[in-house]
Amino acid sequence: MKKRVRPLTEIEEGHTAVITAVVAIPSLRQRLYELGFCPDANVRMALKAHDRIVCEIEMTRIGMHSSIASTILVLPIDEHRVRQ
Amino acid sequence: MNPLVVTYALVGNPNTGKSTLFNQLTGLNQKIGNYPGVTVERREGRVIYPDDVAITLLDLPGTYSLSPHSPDEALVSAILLGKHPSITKPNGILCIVSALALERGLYLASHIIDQQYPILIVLTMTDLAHQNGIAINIPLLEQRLGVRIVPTIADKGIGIDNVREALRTSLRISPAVRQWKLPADVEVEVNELTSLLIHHAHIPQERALFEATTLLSTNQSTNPHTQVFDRIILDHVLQDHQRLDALGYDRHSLFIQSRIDWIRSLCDGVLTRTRKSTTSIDSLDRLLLTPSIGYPLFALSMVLLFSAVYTWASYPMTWIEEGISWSGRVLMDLLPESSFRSLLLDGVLGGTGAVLVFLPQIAILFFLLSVLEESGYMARAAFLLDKVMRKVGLPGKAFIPLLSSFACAVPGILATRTLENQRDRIITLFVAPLMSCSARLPVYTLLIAATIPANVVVGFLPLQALVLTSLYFLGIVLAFCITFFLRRSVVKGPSPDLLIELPPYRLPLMKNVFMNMWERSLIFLKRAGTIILFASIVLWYFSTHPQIPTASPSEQLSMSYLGTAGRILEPLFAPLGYDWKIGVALLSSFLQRELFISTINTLTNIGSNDLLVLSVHQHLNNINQNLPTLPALSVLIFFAIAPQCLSTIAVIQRETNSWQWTIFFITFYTILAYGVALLVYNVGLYLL
Repeated sequence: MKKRVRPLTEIEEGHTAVITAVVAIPSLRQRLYELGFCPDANVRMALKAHDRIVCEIEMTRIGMHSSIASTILVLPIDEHRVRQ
Repeated sequence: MNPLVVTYALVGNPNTGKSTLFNQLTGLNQKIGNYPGVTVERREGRVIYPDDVAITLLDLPGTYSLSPHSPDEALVSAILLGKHPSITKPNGILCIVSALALERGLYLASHIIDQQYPILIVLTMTDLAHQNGIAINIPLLEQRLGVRIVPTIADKGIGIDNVREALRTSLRISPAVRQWKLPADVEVEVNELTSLLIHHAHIPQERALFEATTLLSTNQSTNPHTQVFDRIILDHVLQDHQRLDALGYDRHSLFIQSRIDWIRSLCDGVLTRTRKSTTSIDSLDRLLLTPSIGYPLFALSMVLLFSAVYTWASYPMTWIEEGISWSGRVLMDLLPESSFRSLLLDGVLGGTGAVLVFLPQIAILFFLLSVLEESGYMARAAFLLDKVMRKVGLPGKAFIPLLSSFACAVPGILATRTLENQRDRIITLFVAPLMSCSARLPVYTLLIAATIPANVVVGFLPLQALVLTSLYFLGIVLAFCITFFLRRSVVKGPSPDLLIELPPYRLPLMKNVFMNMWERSLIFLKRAGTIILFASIVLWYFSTHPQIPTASPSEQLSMSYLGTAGRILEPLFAPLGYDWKIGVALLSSFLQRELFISTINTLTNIGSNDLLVLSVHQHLNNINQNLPTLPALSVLIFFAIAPQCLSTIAVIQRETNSWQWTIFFITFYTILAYGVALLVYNVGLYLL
């Protein structure tokens, strides 16, 4: 996986990325920021289930539709599955 | 200030252990009521100190900031900003912050500090944070923030005494001051606007900053506050917008980002993470949230839930029934035959006793629903079901109010306040009463026991359980059909896509579960002791008067006021296969569903439930000798659909704030219930 900015949906399960921008409409962007999805925050993809994903931010799991996840732009920070 | 009138509001993000802390602090000194004007449950409790000083705690719904996205968040915002028409601002805030998500909690705390409240921060889940490699330097954070912080492990009761003590002293401490900063040129604009709002629009000084940043961050066309302010303010705001836009600021993110930047600098050196994630629960989430395994597991959990309600409740139900029969026998022995004895036996004991028997089922249902909620599964079920529910037009989050409606439609309808979209709310609360609530259970159980043979079909399936399950499914299928229809006609428009916090998995805290069960059982008992008792006495009077000394008991009943009224109304119910007694019982159930049982009991003068089953069987046999099951099936279907229960109707009116919707609700479901019952009865007659 080359390191380039991409939507959160393109991150593989178990991988972590850093958020670079949130390009949702203002009200949704505000809610995403409040949940912790703001630039420079780390997000980990926990699960992909068809068009829904579960990701982890600040030790909290958030489930969302991929249409929302695609508005969160990220830069991958590791190439390997995160190990405990 | 009189300490007895001091109120602290509990404010925090969802899933931070707020309810646990509230229960630990107040014990049983709680009361649940409704907020005036809006029906959302208002939970208040008292922290009582040894010297009789008490502080009232007001438990508010979870929220992420003071800019609301759903009606329950709007309530928190209105109360804290002092904008609620009938609830005064609290004197101080107990801000609950999860140690697992410190930065997010501090984001909300910063809004509260802006409002210049005396604030005490309670750090919850410190044990989980420790397990997950999170370390928080609390003294340093206290020093930087200027706010007292009390660490707790609320579910184990650790730190609760410190919270009590800190709560008592926190009112004497000056409120913390705002520390987050905006870029200098933006700060100038905000200060100017804040000053204008205070002096020209007479906005309270502590609220002015919130109003100014809201006005500056949103466009006037989308700002709900726009209509509140006059032209001078709005023109000023418009000029500010132009200036900030020209300076290249993204106004929508500017204020949030400034707070977040400040919180990050605040947490620098305070918050240390040695582990970055909770990969250990990935596999459990994969199991529960992947459709191929998640759906069968969900179906299994629902089957287990409803089976447990019946299996576990059977013994305590028998005990209550025996207790009521014993009381009846004691009364018979003690009192001579008289109208008074008849009133006590047939009216009071018969009417309320027949309903009280079902208390164990209701308590167990609420117990199990609380277990699901506490364990973290409820939100995951909403995630899992989102895809399938969207196909009919509901978001997955609507699953939580709908599942709650299986216990009682009133809390189910109230739970729709967590849905952000008004159209989703309207549809969900419109179909929520179709979920067979616990008040329908007694009627289902009685009629099924009276008419459906206790056979086993397909080798292992009990027929009675199958009929009962079908009635639950009838409600679900109809709810989906009606949603599908409404989404494509009256309530068109898209739903926002799924975005839901999935709380950590945890063992349900039994104290919370039992307190929830206790509160709900108490509400049921209060209803049995008030409305049902009163209605039972009224029914007894009208079924035994005018008294005709020479008449036999059945002639007396037939010639009573109730009998006369019932026979007048009989033609209305005859097409559905009912006689006047069932018709009257159905009408009484529009006051409260359980009253069907009390009325049938009063009309058949039977004291015990076993005998009531036999009596109802006999009664249905008299109506239709060949097919006694058919009128029973017709009643069951009517019951599964009809909009009985005044509380539900009242809540729908208040929540929609629309008489049109309420009247539509009553008319639609009454006609539908009558129509489907009529169809089933007549098709049954034709086929059999």
